[in-house]
Amino acid sequence: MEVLLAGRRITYRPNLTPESVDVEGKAVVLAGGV
Amino acid sequence: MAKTVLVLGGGIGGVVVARELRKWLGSSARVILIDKDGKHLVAPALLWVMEGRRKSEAVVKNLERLRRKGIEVIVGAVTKIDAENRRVETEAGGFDFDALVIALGAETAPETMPGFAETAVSPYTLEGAVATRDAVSEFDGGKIVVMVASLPFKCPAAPYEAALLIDHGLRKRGVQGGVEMEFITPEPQPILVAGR
Repeated sequence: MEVLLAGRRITYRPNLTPESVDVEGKAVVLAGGV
Repeated sequence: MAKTVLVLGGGIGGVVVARELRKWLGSSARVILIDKDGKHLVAPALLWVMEGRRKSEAVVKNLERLRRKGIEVIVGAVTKIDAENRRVETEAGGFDFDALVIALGAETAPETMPGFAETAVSPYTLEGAVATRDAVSEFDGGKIVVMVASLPFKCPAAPYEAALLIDHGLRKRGVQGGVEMEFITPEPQPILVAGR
């Protein structure tokens, strides 16, 4: 889901549980491999 | 003999309860507030620290000030609650009570999410708010992820407020192009606690 926030588009991703933060790639790893 | 009310915790809940009880009970009771470090952190102001609108020292108040209101203040972590014998043990000694208010709050546990402590920042503590401020002030483009790690969490509006304020700060600094923001949350919708 994308919402417009004061002119900047923010991607809103509900119903997703972050599981870990990949330090090297600086990525958020989500539950269920999303 | 005067009754004794113990209030555990010097956060917003403990301080408000202690002050209200002090007013309601008059001289019929002692009101004793016990806090682990004797400091009250004005948590709603943490996002202002993140923004750079408040200095760290401005959002920490000494609980000793409650003495002027007639509230006794004890500094020491609670180590045991003995409900049967109506007694609380602390690092500063033991205290008997007639009534007990537990307002010890919740602490974040960043160590439970692998990689978080090494990479991410959280404005939910004073140190974290300062770290977030520094990270955002150095940010000059790229992607920012604001996330809610798990449910439930305290102050349901804070992550959304943080996202808006970070956006505002970046705009003020003129960092507009090339900035992406993603908000990831286990919630089905923003601030569900406020209703659908």
